[in-house]
This record gives sequence, C-alpha cells and structure tokens, in this order.
Amino acid sequence: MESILLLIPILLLASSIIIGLSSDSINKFYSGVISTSLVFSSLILSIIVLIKIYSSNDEIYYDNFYDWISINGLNIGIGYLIDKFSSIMLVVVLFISFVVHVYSIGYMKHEEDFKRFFSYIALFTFSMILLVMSNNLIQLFIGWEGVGLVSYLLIGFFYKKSSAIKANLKAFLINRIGDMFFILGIVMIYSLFDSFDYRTMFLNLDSVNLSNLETYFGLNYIDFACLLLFIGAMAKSAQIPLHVWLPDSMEGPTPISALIHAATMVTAGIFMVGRLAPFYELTEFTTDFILIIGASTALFMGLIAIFENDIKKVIAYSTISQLGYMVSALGINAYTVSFFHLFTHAFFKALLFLCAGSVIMSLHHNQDIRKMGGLKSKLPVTYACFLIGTLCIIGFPLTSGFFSKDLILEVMLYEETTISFIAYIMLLIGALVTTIYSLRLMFIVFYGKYRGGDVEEISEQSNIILIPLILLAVLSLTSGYIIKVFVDLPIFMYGIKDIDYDGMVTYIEHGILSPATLTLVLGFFIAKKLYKDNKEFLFLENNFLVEIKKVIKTKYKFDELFLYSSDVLKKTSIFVTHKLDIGIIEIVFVNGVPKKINSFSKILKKTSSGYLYHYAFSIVFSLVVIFGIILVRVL
Amino acid sequence: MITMSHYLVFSALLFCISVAGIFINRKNILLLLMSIELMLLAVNTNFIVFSHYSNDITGQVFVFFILAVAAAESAIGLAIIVSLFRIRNSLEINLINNLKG
Repeated sequence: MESILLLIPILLLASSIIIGLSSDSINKFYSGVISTSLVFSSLILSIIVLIKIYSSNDEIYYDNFYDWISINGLNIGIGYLIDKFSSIMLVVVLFISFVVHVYSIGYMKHEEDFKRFFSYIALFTFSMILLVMSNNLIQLFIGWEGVGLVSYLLIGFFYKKSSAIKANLKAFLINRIGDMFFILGIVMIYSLFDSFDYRTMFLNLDSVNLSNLETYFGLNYIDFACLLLFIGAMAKSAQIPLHVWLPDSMEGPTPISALIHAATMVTAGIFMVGRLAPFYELTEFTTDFILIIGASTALFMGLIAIFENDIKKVIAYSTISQLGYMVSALGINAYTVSFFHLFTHAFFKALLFLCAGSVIMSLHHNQDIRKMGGLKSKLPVTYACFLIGTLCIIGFPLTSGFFSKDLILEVMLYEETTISFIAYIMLLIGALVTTIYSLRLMFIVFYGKYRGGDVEEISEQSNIILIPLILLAVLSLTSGYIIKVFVDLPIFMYGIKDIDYDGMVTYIEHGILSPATLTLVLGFFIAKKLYKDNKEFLFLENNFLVEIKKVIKTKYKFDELFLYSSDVLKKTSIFVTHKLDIGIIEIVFVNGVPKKINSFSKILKKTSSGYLYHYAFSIVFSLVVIFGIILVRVL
Repeated sequence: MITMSHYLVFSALLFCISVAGIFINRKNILLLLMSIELMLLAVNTNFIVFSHYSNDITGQVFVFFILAVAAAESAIGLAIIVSLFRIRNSLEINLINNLKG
C-alpha cells in the first residue's frame, strides 16, 4: 500500500520534470502522451487505493514516508493519511487532471510552449495530491502553496499579454493575504497540540481543556484559530471579499480554468475545512461566519454572472457562486454534504469550462458571447455536453447537481436557526439566479442567429477534444447517484449531521417536491423570455430593478475596495517615509546626532592649541585646583 | 638652625621656578629641558630631606636612580632636539605646534 501511495505523487513529479526539462528531441505530441499516460497510471493507482479503502471496514492508512524535519521534539514528516474522504478527493483530482491532460493535447497543439504547459499541469497535480494526501498541516501547507504557485504560473501562461501578467499578480497577492492568516492559524493550532500531525491533534482534542485557554477578541482559542484558517480558505476558494482574483484568472488557458479554477485548486479550501472538521465542530462564531460568507457569495456572485459577457467569466462567477454553496454547507457543519457538492461540481464545472474552450477554439478565440449564437447545429457534440453541464448546474432532476445542491438546501432548512434560515432563503434565491445565468449563457451561445460573421467557418473540434467532454458529461449525469457513499462518509473520527436518508427513490421524490424545483421552473421561464425570445419583461423597466442592475454591474466595487485600500496603504507608507523616516529618524537621529557632535567638537578644538606650555599650564593648574580642594576638605 | 621646613620651602621654590620656566619660556626648547631637570632636582631634594629626617636610606638610594634616569632622559631629549634643529633650523617653541587640533 505504501509503495502505491508513494508512486502516485512520484509519477506526477516525474512527469513534470521529464516534460519540463526534456529537449526538443521529444516532440510536442509525444511529450503530451508521456505526461498523460503518467497521470493515467496515477489515476489507476488511486482507484486501486479507493477500492481498497471502500472494501475494508473504515480502515485508515496512515504513516510517514520519511521524517523531513526533526528538531528537539518537533517532528514534521512527509506522509499520508488516506481515509474514505481523501481517497475520493484523490481520485477526483487525478481524474479531472487526466481528462484535462487529454483535452490539452488537442487544445494546446498550436502553442509554442506546449511542453511548459504540460510540465506545469503535472506539477499542479503533484502539489494537489501532496495537499490531499498529507497527514500534517505543514505538508498541507506545502501543497497549498504549490498549487498557488502553479496557478500563478498558469494564469500568466501567455506572458506576453499584459492583462495575463496583471491577473496572475492579482491572484498571487490576494492569495498571500489568505496565506498569512492561514499560517497564523496553523501556528495557533500547533501551539495548542505541539504537533502538526492530524492524528495526534484529533486524538488529543478531548484532553485539551478548551475553556481554560486564552480568548482573542472575545472568541475562544479554537474559534479564533479556525477563523484564521478559514480566511486562508476564503482566499483559495474565492469567497467574498477575497474572490476578486478568480474572474481575472480566466486569462489563463481554458483547460487550466477547468482544472485549477473550477474543479480542484479552488476546492482546496473546502477540503481543508473538511479535513479539520473536528476543530470546526467546536466553533460557534466561526461556523456562523462561514455560513454568512458562503451564502452571500452564492447569491451575490451569481447575480454578477447574469450581466457578464465573457463566456469564461460567466462560468468563473458561477464557480464562485457554487463554491459559496459548499462553504455555506460547511457553515452548518455538514462537511460531507459540502464535499458531495464539491465532488459533483468538479465534473460538471470542468465539463462547462472544457465546452467553453471548445466553443472558443471553434470561434477562433472569441470569448464574447455577444458575438456568438446559433451554434447548436454547428457544434452538436459541444452543445449536447454543454446542455448536460447546464442541466447539472441548475439542478435539473436526476442529474448530479440535483442531488448535491438539493442536499445542501435540505440540511440548511433542517438546521432550524435564524441564521441558517436566512442562508436558506439566500441559497434558494441563488438557485434561481443560477438557473437564469446558466440558461442565459446557453440560449445566447447556442440558440438564435450567429452574430460573429461568416457562419460557414465554424466546425466541430477533433475527437481528442470531444472525447474528454463526453467522458465528463457521462460522469456529470451519473455521479449524483452515489449519494449514499457521501451520506455515510465519516469525516475522520466524526460522524455527520443526521440526514434523513431513506433511499434513492424517496430522496428524488422529496427533491422534486422541494422549493428548488420551483426556482428551476421560474428561472427557466425568465431566462427563456429574456434571452431566447428576447422579450423584455415590463417590470424590468422598474426604476428599482434598474438601480439594482447598476449596482450588480459594478461587481459591488470589490476591485475598487482593494484599490482603495492599497491606495491608503501607499499613502501611509509615503507618510511614513517622508515624515517619519526622512523627517524624524533621518534629520533628528541619523544626521542630527553627528551634526551636534561636530559643532561641539569645534568648540573643544579651540582648547587644544598645540603649544606645550598651554598643556603644561592646564595640567599644573588643575593639579593645584584638585589639591586645593582636597586641602580645604581635609582641613 | 636649619630645619626641615627650610629644605622643603627651598625645594618648593625650586619646583616653582622650574614650572614657571616651562610656562614663561616660549623661546627655546633647551631651556625647557633644563627646567624639567630642575624640577627633578627639586623632587630629589625632597627625597633626601625626608630620607635624612626619617633615618631611612631608601630615599637617598632612590635619588641615585632618578639621577641616572634623568641623565638618560636628557641625553635622549638632547638627541631629539639636535635632530629637530636639523629639520627646522630653529628651536623656537612658538613654531612647534603640530598638536594643534
């Protein structure tokens, strides 16, 4: 078992190194094939691991490969902790990565930096696997930073485009904010348990007397540590207000958006919270905070998607919104429910992105949906896959999104606190919004007339692009049916919230009769009227709604907020340099002290005339004075 | 009758003369050297007086040492003065103020 687990990341790292350092002797196509086959072998191995885990009785594979750092009782190892939770994540990451590898062979074939691209995505997958497999917080953090780094490199893949460089810098900086809090959180947890190791921490959790610990800002110790960790997750998983980097990250190649910015890296935050579930179980304020952040992200970011005109940005905002759903499920301690949505979302969102990539390629790198339309007959396979992806994301009955999103709404309703009820309402409206923007995208891109010029030029892509789409489409449709696995999934040593799960049929009946179906129907009619038939609703001319639309179109001015705060920081730093540094420290201390010494020494200089008799006189005179004083004293 | 205080006053006078010689003399380094010798002699006188009145020979032994050292010292001093004269062609103290800050 250990050798299998060791082989999974090693193969990926080898792939990255071989492709990255190989000379021109391996041509593009073969390097793509080598890389893909290595990822495929990892995928097979991870499936073996998954089967082993699920065929055993709650067995947990836990060990260190080796001790990395060992100083005076502080032991940091590189190891693995494979349970039901992480083995599923392992397979999901490797599967999406494999699909994206295949897709990229077709999508990137005209790129000069083909090999660099493959090297990066292999490195990304390696880092992600490191994160998922890890058995301690430090290894998790290494993977966390690794995926952040590769994300930075890949957003700026087209490094000659200034917008790409700005976008990757933005992503990097925003993630640094989160990482700072994340490190603080890790340190707080460490100082509590004297260990970074998950198992040691969770086993010692009962023996720690939590009420005796210090409090910070009115929060108890664990609450505050979890809050810090969650802020790290907020940056990685693009939650309000640290979401601003994700829409801009669409500057990267489309396969990257599917792999990193939809299916895997952005869910690392969710995974981390799920992994540290035993801590989050103990928090009160933090879970409420998570719930509020998640629900508002789900609703408000969805609203922005309605008014976006870039096909990838619409999907990016929808990703943020769906991440909001997962986060809000974390906010009521329903980790498995959140993880289930992560699981299904990975497939259908990767599918949507790859479809968008296919559309973009067919239209010669046009991403503006205003110049699309009527592609249904021209790109039948892409259309079918996109339709499946859309049905999943809006939660159409019997698709995977239906199961996972409905489950989130259900557990939210059963939580029965005021705050969770508000969140429930927000998520329900969010579901309506999801339906509207998803269908809008589909209607505008695939229905109506082509608005971009000569329609004859458009043709379907080659099989190497379409096969991954079909593969993902099949999984998007079916992955919801293993809901039982997730309902029974133990999150480490903890069980989950009581979910009344009475079998598939009851669940489906219940789901169809829930208010979510109502939002689906309502959303369909609104989207159809507005975007398919192009009929304006009269009530949309209402002044109030126009004002709301204006507000949404500004994207709530989050970018401006960051610019403003960086401006404030800049002004502060200018004030500090000019007034404090140059003003006080430099003039008063650095230059002031020598000046004073200099002028004082000028006075002293006059006393040393160079004439011997002056010195002799001063010696004798002072001797006389000293003896005189002594004499007077003695007498 | 010559008492101890007479000797002491004499040596103090000798000392004062030599100090005054150092202060007032601004012309010649040779005179400076002589004043220093005089100062040493004043001190020697003190030694001898105290040695005589306290019946202790140590003081007088010390004087021999001081005289020997003083002789060596003035030899060195004279040598320095000779070489100084060779460089400067004068022995005026007013012109030697290289220590001026």
